[in-house]
Amino acid sequence: MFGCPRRFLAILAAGVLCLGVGFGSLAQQPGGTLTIGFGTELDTLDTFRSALAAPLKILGLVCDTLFAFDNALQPQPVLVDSWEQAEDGLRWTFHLKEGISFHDGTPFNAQQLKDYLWGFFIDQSFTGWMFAAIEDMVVTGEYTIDFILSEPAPLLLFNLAYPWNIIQPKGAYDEFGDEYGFTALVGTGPFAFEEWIQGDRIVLSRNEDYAHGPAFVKNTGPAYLESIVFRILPEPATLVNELRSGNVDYAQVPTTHLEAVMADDAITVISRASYYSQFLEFNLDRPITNDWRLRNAVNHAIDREALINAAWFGAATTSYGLVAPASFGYWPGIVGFGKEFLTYNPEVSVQLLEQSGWTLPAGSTVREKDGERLAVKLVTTNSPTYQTLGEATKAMLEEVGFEVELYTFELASYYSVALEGDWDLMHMAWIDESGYSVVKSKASIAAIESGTNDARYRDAALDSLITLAMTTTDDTTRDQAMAAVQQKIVADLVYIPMTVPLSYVAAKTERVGGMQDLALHPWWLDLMLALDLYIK
Amino acid sequence: MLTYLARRTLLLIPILIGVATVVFFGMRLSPGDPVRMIAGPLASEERLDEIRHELGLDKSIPVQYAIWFRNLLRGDLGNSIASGVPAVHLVALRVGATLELTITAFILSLAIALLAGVTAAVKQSSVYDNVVTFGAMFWLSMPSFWLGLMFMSILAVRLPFLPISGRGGSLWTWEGIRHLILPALTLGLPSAGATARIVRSSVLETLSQDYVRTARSKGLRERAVITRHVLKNSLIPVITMTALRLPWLFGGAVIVETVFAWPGMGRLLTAAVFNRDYPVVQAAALITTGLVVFANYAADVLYSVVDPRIRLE
Repeated sequence: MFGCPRRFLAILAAGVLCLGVGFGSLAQQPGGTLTIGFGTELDTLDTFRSALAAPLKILGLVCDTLFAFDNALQPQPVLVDSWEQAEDGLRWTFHLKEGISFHDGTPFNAQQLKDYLWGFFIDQSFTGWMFAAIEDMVVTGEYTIDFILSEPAPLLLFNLAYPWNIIQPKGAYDEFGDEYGFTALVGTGPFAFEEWIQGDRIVLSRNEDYAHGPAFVKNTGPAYLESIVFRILPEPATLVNELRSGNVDYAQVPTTHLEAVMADDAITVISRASYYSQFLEFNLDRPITNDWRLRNAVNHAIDREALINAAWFGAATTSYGLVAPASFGYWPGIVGFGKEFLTYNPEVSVQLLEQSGWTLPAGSTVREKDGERLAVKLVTTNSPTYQTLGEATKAMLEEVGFEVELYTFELASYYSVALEGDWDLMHMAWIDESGYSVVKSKASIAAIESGTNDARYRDAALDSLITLAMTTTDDTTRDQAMAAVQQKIVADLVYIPMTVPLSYVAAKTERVGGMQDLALHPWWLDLMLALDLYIK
Repeated sequence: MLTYLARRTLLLIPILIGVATVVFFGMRLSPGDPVRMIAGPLASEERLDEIRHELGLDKSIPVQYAIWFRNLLRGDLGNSIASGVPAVHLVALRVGATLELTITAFILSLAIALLAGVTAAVKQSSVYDNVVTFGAMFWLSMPSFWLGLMFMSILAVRLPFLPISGRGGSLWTWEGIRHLILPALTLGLPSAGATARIVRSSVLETLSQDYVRTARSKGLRERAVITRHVLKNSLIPVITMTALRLPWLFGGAVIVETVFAWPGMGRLLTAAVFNRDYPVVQAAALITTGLVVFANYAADVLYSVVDPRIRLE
């Protein structure tokens, strides 16, 4: 859900905007160390255990996925040479690339892949559900493996390209046990894990044998950079000072310091739309918010532009759907629908409240119906951005006659409160490369039990549409189903789309080359960062 | 003396158990589920139950406490929920950096406080006295976060004399010392301000004592009067105050470590609280408590060294 906790990752799309000084075009020289400023205090690099999204930035350089998303967000082979699908869609045969080894020397082959995926990754990883249709894996040759499916899985290649579905050697987990992800991390990626000095830095060194980069990446390997150092700098002001002083070459820019970074002539900043969808969510189990007209009144009472300026310092765009524009599966038609439907108009809001029976008693600022006050509990996290979102929303709702109690919690408590259900409205976000994952997580009936559909959104027709979108083998049917799902979610006003925050990365113009290649990919794919960036 | 030390050491045990127990129940009573944090939002109930079982979190809180207490007696503080490695190991990797920072800040604050406080008292009502009194209030009132960023901005960014952040390696190297200066000043100066005020008033009080007048009338030089008679007799409240400031130093280290990217235990503890990594929080709390209790205990011993009339019984 929220920014940092992982699993809530997803795609982005949209245009890339170059700001500041132009990119250099010097020839790539192998060698040099890229120092990346990293704002998150990491817990572990073990994908099975981390509570955060941040480790993916390192895992994406050390480990490969079988497929990776190209610049058009289509899955392209990385560790796979070729593949075919049986006519009935129930058997997929993958021919793996030969001659690839993990960093510890273990050869990458069909048996290694099966040992890792089958009975381990699929059972224990938080993304294992993506492979629920696989009922067996059969190794038919040293580099050939068959996935046997119980039902067609048209999204299989997308799911194999999903950044969290990295391939590691099962043997390394057995060998290092609990130390895996702490003192050891093994993959087939362009960089090998060297050391993690707790609280200080993570050091990666070039995998000299890497030569299997996907065709859409300009440099297929090995990487130009000799090493990458992630310096852990949890305070944004410190991170920006280190960047501006030249001790850090590359960093994601905290929105709060964007202006200062962009004003620095020595720094190049690029921005992209994100797969970060931020919305206001209603608890349908509460009598007040179970009324569609009331939810629509809230919809028309909120000025999204004002929220963008107050909370994101302008570094966001208006959101029109639950799925962010850069997530795969996003339906562009939602913009037209959303622009008609999600408008700021307090007068309409007041009318809707009056029609619902919520009237303003003389001399009062809070509406009432049958003696009950229009009092709602709004919950958000205690991050400065979300506190601002909460405070601004409270003020806007009180303008039309709500009484809003605002509660802010730190993240772990916030999740518990969301699950327990003692709230009416909640500012929430979902960060996910996959639009399918977003709608399944927030709008399917099954997700009520698993806890992500905390709005308690129960709609059998919508549920069928989501299932259809995720299982049909026909591309047109899938696109139509996803469009219908996204439109219905907005029309039902269970989640009112609010903002899509933009992402910014900055690099020292004189030092870092290859940013123009990275910027071609809507997600700034980590694999491209590893292979295409170089020190001038 | 030995009986006293033995008794105080034994007393340490219930204090540590008490603190650890409060932390144990405090963490579990606060909302937030570590299993959901690590299993992700789409995990099935079966998977959540499986992880809860693996971590022993499926048992009732009293049973968890009993198991935790039994393991504590064996010296086992459990493994981190997030990383899987022993919590003590995680804390051990970070405690050195925190000690380096807090001890340096402590020594720095004490040295500044003694120098400024004694001189201000001796030169009472002078311009110097007013400057020290104002300075002490100023540093004492400055929030560490703001102070750290100001130091960084002036002494590391605008005038690049010192590194902006990070730990430069061993304390015994020039780089190590350079990296330590700003965080130690940020942590130490507010403490120096508080202690300097105590030193000043304590020295002033001692200066008015009869034995000081006697020392002076014997013809002793002023410097000898101050160092031999005044300073030593003024130290008791200073030691008390300094010991009381220690927990504050450990608390302040959390902020200073974050601002200066100092890889200490405070940041580990903060992250563990947010992730509900119970064993790490408990281990860090136990070790911090142990250090603070030990420091107070050292202060008690110091009383008897400074003033032989105080006997530890």
